[in-house]
Amino acid sequence: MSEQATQTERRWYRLAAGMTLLYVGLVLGGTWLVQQPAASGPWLRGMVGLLTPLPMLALLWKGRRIMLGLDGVESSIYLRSTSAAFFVTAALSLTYGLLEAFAGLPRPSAFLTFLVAMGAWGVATAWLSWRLSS
Amino acid sequence: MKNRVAELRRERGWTQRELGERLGVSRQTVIAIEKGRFDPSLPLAFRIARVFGAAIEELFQPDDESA
Repeated sequence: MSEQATQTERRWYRLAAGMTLLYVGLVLGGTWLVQQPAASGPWLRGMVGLLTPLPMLALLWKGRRIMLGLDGVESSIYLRSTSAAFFVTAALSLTYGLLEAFAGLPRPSAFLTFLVAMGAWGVATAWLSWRLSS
Repeated sequence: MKNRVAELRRERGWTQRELGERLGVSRQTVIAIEKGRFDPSLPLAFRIARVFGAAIEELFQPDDESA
């Protein structure tokens, strides 16, 4: 990998570490805040819910820009695996939502959607990496 | 898209990693191009042509076009 790519990697890891720390801080701070009896209310919970993911969104947006800026097969793998993960997650979420509504299946944890999306992304990335360059 | 990247690289005795460093891309990208599984962008195709001192059309050829 070129020197420019190495510098980009270093910047990315610094940003990822900073944004993850900020995210953990916001989750902990938000949890503490909504648990205060004097400060509870739907608006506060909504604010915490909307503001807490911002560091992760910023990090993912930056990661997306870096990946799409790469002039190589990595950019293609990223685009294809992300779209595959999106459609797999959408299809599974829709199917499970319909089964939940009509067949009374139990409501799953929100973590499940995250795990499905990340799992599909990981599998698609590994498969495409193998398929395109092995 | 067929290409002569692997052939020209071997003629010069370069490894895939060395070619990747000259082009500013990963070894994974070089492998994918050589195997014809990834078509490089136009700027990358120009860089490849410059590295080998050849014209783009000498390096890349559409699948449906015979030599």
